[in-house]
Amino acid sequence: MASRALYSPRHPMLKKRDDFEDILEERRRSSDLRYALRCYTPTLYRGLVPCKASMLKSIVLQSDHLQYVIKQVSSESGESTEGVSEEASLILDEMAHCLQLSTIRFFAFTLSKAFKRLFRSVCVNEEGIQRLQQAVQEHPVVLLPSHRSYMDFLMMSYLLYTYDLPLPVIAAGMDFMSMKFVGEMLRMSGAFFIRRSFGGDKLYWAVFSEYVKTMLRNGYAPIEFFLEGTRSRTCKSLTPKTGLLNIVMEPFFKGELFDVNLVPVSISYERILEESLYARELLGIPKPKESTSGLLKARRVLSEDYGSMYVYFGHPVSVRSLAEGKINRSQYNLLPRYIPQKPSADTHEFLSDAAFRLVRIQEENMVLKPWVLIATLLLQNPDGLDLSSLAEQTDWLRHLALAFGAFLDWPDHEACSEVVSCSLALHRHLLSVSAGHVQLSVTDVPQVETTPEEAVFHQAVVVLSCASYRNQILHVFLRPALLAMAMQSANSNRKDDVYNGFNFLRKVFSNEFILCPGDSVQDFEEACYLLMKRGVLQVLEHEIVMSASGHSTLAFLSSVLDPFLQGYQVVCRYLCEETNENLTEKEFIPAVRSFALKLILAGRLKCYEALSSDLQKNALAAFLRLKAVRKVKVGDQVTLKVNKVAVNSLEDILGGKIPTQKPILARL
Amino acid sequence: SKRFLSEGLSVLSQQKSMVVYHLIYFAIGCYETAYKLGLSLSFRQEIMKWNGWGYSDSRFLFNKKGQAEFTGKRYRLSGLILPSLKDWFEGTFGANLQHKSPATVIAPPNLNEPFIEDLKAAGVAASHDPEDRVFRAHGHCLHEIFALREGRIGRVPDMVVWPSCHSDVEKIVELACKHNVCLIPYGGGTSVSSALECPHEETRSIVSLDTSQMNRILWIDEKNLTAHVEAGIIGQDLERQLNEHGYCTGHEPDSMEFSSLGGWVATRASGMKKNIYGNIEDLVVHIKMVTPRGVIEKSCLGPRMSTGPDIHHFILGSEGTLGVVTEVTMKIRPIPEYQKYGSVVFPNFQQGVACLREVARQRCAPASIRLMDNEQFQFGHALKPQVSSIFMSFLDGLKKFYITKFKGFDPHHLCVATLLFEGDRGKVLQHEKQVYDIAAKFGGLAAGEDNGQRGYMLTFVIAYLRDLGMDYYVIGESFETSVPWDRVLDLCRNVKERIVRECKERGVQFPPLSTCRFTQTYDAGACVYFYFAFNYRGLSDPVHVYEQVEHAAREEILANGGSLSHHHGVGKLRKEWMKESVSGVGLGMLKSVKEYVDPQNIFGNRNLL
Repeated sequence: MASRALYSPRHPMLKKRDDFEDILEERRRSSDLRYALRCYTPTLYRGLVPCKASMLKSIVLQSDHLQYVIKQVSSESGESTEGVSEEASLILDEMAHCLQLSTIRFFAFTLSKAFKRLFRSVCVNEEGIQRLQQAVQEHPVVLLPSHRSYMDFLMMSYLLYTYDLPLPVIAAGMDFMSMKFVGEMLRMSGAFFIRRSFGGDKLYWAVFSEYVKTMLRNGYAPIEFFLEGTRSRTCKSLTPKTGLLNIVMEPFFKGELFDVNLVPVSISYERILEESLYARELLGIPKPKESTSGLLKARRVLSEDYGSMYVYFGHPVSVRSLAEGKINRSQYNLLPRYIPQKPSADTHEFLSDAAFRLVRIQEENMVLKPWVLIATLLLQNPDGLDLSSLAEQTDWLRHLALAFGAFLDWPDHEACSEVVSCSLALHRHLLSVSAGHVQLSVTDVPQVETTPEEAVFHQAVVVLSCASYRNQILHVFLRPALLAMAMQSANSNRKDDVYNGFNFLRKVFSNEFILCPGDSVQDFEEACYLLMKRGVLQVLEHEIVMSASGHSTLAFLSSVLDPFLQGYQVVCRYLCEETNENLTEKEFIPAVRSFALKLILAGRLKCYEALSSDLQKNALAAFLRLKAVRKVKVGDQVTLKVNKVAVNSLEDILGGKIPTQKPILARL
Repeated sequence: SKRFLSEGLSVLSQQKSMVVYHLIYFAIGCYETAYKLGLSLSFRQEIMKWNGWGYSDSRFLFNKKGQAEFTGKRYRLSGLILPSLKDWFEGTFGANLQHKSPATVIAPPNLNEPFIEDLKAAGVAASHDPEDRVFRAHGHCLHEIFALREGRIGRVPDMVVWPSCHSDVEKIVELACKHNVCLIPYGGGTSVSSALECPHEETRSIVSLDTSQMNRILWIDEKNLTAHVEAGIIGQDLERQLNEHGYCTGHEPDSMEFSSLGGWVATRASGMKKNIYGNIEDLVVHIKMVTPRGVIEKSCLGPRMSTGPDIHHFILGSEGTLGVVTEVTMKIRPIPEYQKYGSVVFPNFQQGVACLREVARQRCAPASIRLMDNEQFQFGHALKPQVSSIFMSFLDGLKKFYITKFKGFDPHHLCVATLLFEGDRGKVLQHEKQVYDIAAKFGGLAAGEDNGQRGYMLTFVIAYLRDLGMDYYVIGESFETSVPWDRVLDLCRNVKERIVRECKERGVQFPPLSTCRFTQTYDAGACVYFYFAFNYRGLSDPVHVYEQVEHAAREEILANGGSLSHHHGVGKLRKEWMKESVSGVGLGMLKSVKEYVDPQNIFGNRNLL
């Protein structure tokens, strides 16, 4: 069933989503202490093998899989097996969580206080909770929340405690560990820590994967991890990682579990706590290392209003139904199951496909606030808008978004102007409002002299902060917007030409946005369908024709993606004009940034988003993928070799100077 | 069966009276020999059910008081009241009595007259009596029996021939080639792989070649401990006749009351005491088979040969696609001095499996060792006969108390292993101790000889139970696989769960019975049986649902590292997975053998390939 829901063509208007309930309401009415100390009796997995955290370690260390790898490593390195075992045990100590109910109770108390100060409401879809309750009993569960803030996993555990669900164990990055005390607190609340990179370390991988699998197989606790791997600084979903997904699916592939339930969870914030922090980070203003004192300084954060927070628990996706017809499980029949096996090409494809689809589910269930629409409009109008026209356009955009299936939380029975002014109030630090005119601008500029460069950066912080809200709705507009851009650059109305252009853009931007590999036809059809339904296009057998009234919609849509187009063009221009033979990978981002800065200062570029390191990184990844740039390892340095002809023609196509045609694509 | 005959005839006489007269003329008038033979030919047919399992006189029924009983005199359970069966039955499925009487229509035979003429001249017994034909048109798959009960019978053989010796078979095969008729060898008719089903695409006349008259032991060689036997002999007859000489083969498949030696060879059968005597491939020394190309056999009786790939292995498991096995030389053993049953209760299935694994590791498996899961244990309990005295009932209560309360076994988790030891008395007792000691390490408690014996008896009567089920809207069947030790538990759990899930998805209203047991252990794995039954009330096409679920279960077995079949064979039921199971090259090898041996596809049952 889950797979059917996952792969069915979307009918956005028909999709009914669950209602939300505010969990803070209850907290504001009754004692937090009593709440923290209340009787906690979670629903349990029916196949649970009861075991303590300490037992867990010895099960992992004794496992056939780990023993096998220990012997292998020992024979390869010449180290004694005892030595390697000891090493494995240390890795496990460094990694393992020690979930304690008392710590959870502590968090339940303090977080109640904190959440009440930070948020007006924390809204949860209770139907999702009920579905989860069911799923938890049937099969081991993997929770897959989106990742936008540090708050995410604290909130997840808090919610599961609130609803009497088993507390999850959470895969966390090692960087938390360096925060004294807090790291340990997190460990006691169920976090386990993974090194950020351990590429070739067989032993580490074995300990880690066996640890996760053991917890899953025994039904020890729901496993929680972030498909995106890290917090998205831009609020766009990140290209999912498949490593951990493979680990949690393998017990099913190998028949050790009948099924595994994957539960995508979408967490969205009306205002993100780390908003300006992220923007600075994207601009290369170094982020402070996670430290306890840093966290304490962040207390200032507590005094501000962050609006509402939404948590949507999606429908559990059964790995079994997901894999049906895609994974031939008998491929695991011929090797003892404790011997680690690299996923086959089929499995890889399946994992990546599944990961993309899960992230898309996360996106679709993300609650969007009116501000997201306003931010989109303000970014498109850098000189600002009159309040009345802003309200009018917001209303127009709202209907467009709804028609495209956006999960918009629009207050009932309130005038649009009212809604707009409420949103503006919450985000006033990004705006200047004077005489009924709204504009994105720097509000709390230090009055000291600023250099032109600093002024640009200040403005860029505002723009990128605002862009992080627009980015939340990008997934709704993405496909129609790609179509709109393709139509603009195609020199004919022929469907083939438009599709070629669409496909080209899709390829270029597939590091930037969540575009499932292999779905290009489906995406194209979806875009056509949505725009046709809106009366923007007429899709004939061989032609796509814009209707008379469609112009404004198409213009809006293509300008949604315009900053990305411009940003990529800047990167192209940089690669063509500025690079020498010895550009190292490390230098790339700072170099592009200063190139873009120069263009802005010279008035040749208006697009501040070109300064974003995220965009620059994605552009580089795309060019590498399209083979316009090559990585060459020289010593310990990686240098970038640029194929200037290819980059040049890329830039031309992006700029609309050359229509997309097959031969050019082939040349790339 | 009389009723059936008259019905069949009356139906036929309404439709094609000429054919019927011809048929009677053919069956009675023409062949005196056939008629004479007819008495003995139909002997088994007379005492066996035509639309269910086993002997006509043995069946389960609910008596007027609503208690279950097993009729007849043939089994230990016969004539006994089974007080708990009804509760179990209702608890598991929910029972509802409604019996449908069948209305049977059999298509007139498609006869190849020149073949019949030549056969007549050769003096081979034959018949196209509808009853004879229907009886040989099916094995015991659920869909086959269900169709018989519902009176919806598909293609049946057009005639039946009864060769009485090897040379008769040679003649028949030669004539079949000459006149291009399709031959389907028939032994005991206990196939559960659709192997006996007539392919509907077959346009030639289909002749069922019944080997039942080739049932003699030709010689016994006490020096080499071998016996030369005609392949049509039925298992229990072979065993009984050898016993009279003080010997046995020790080959005891669950179907041994009805299955034939030739059938065992053709399907790679396995007997419950294979730990001592071996499976059929270990037991045969020499095989003679008649193929369209001629007779295939080895030139000596040497115990082992290195003469290229063993040609016996083309024959073993060929499922009637290459020819007819006519004579087999088999190993025999002196009858064991002493036999002892036993049983062990384990706190849970995992422990039981661990014990079986350890027994296999130490290679000390008794003649038979089986392990049933909890659901099957409860079912076995339901088949416990009424106890004769208050004392016995008290004793039973005490046992139950001891196991569940004193030892802390959860009656919803415990499982039982049944054991059979064989050999000379001293060694048996020693062996027994060794096995019980191992069991104790895995928390096993000895649970008495009686429980063990009842476990084995269950094997023989369980097939009868399906007929009772069908009277009450319950259908079910068993299927088997073999699987390496490290995957057995996962496979059992996943397959059982898959069955439950598939039933639910297909609208089965009551939770199905989905249970398993281990019936054989090997060095590297075990043979596992699954029993699956459900109440089909509310389903428009229960057999189709059943087949879909079984199909899904088989997919699950294969995905979890189980084999396509341990000993039931492939037939037509599991053909679709052959390529996946033995690789394209493997299948090609088998096909090329078939191509060489039988280019005309005379043995056209279309099994296996």
